[in-house]
Amino acid sequence: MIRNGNKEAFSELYTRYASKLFNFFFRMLNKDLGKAEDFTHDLFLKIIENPGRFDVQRRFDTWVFHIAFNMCKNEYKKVAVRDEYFQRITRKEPVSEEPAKSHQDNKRFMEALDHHLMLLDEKHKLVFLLRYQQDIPLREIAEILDCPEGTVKSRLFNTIKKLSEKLIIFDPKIN
Amino acid sequence: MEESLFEKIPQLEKLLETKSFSELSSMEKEAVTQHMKQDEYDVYHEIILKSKNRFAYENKTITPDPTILNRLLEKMENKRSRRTGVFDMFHKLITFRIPVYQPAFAAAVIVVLFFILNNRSHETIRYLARNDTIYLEKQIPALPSKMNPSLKVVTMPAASMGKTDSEKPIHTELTNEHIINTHNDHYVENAYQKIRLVTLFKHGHSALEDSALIRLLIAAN
Repeated sequence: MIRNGNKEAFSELYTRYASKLFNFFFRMLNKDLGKAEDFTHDLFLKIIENPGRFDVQRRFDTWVFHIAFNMCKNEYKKVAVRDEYFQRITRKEPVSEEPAKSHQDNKRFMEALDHHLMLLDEKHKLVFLLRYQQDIPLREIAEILDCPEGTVKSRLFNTIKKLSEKLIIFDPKIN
Repeated sequence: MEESLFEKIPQLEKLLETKSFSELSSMEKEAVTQHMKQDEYDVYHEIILKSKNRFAYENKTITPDPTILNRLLEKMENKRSRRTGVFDMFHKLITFRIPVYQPAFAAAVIVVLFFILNNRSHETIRYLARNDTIYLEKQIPALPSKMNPSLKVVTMPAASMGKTDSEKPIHTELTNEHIINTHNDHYVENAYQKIRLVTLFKHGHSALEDSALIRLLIAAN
């Protein structure tokens, strides 16, 4: 229907996926709202310009996140996104990693979680976001990334392990 | 690459996402404790749980600019009005997609056919010898003087007819030339052919040296 320029079909598709994709870009591009909006716009523009590229044999979300992943990959190549983030955080107050003592420290824990998520390398961050932000099953993540499911499992486990090593100091159980 | 715990315990990823250690069944606890401590499990579980909550909160609160949709719909409309008639057909033609294996297979077939045909032509045509020049002999009716410059036509006056050979006027310059007595063109042509035949038989000897031949020629004319 989008191929034929059906506006209603496109609007429906946009309503279903725009927010998900926007939040995915927001996290992948170091919480840069402007960039996340531009990327969301560009991705849907690609769908308008080349709807024929969609393989009807594939799930739409797998396909659309595959495009989103490629866009992020290109952006990471173009500019050192993580370096940009490092520069930004050095201007801010560093995240405190003192042991948590009360429920009020939940906020600090969340800040630390955000911080360490941002510091993850592209591959690990991507798998973590697709699994827990987008709730996509591991098998489909493997399809999106064009890699074996075992690799996805391994990357996801390593990510959780790395985060736990950084955040164990907060002892999340007490929050 | 070392096998991760998610591969060693296939249900672990699901358990971490849904249950704390205390909520696990005794069998699940046994499977988990073979590879990690209870505290470790709980930290992993909390990280996943809190991350999911965080992302869910963001999904609700951080939304894209609503004007994006309008801008996209506008572009969609522009694109639709741009594509009409021939342009649409041309666009469909150049963006027509086929699986990669099809052109690859076609290219492979062309290459194989090329080699087969090339080898066959080498095998079947074998030359024992080759002629580098082909001679084509063609006879064109023409006056003997134009065909053979060494042939001189002497027209004998009618008065000399009936005289003996010695009495007939013969051109004094004749040394190694054929003599043809012509009264009419068609006789000349006939005589020339006879001379040619005789020349072939004589293998280079002058027809003038052969008196019998001269007599034959005169009689023929």
